[in-house]
Amino acid sequence: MAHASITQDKIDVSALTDLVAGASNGAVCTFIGQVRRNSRGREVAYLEYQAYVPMAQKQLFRIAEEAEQRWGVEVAIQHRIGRMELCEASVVVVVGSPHRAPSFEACRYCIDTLKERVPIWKKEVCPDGSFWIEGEEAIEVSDAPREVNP
Amino acid sequence: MRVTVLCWGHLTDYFGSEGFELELPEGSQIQNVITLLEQREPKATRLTRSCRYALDEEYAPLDTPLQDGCTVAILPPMSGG
Repeated sequence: MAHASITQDKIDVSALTDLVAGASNGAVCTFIGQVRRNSRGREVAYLEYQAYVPMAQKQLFRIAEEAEQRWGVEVAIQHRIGRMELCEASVVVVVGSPHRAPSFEACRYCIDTLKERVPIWKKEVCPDGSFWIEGEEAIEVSDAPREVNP
Repeated sequence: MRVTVLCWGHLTDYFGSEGFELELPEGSQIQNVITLLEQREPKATRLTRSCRYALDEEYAPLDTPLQDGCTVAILPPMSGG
């Protein structure tokens, strides 16, 4: 049974791991996405994530289920929204499986697919302004938004 | 019919983040919502460029027919992770 959720709170990696680290699994692969200081040549003060929560929840769960079926693994994913400081985790994917290879592959699939189709958006708050990150583009936050070279 | 519209990412700078309602004629599609928003805010030029759309929390193409009480979401390129 896949586990997937959106949270406002700090992600508890250990609690997430417990969901997929039963005794039948000899491998547990964890991916942690955390807030980085530099982005596109700018210094980042902190990030704000927003999500279309009910749809994001559904999509996250489907991705986790897809991975479980394709690789025969157990998956737990949690994505945090709201304000996050440097080095705080925005997303954690944990995959448990009897052997290591499927756990790596399924973990990679989950984070890559999440970025493509889970409706979550990131705003980078920098000393010189705030920017919506939309795919490869950064769009300055203002009353009259304008394009910014990535 | 009345539909609820939700915007995300930079579109919230134009249309707010709380969502709003639109009155549309019967037989309208998602495309008609986009046309109305473009008229309301001509500077929002990315409404059709690279955005995806959802009807009642599921991805849907522009020609999807709408029903009274439904929710249309306009989804710019995502940046989760």
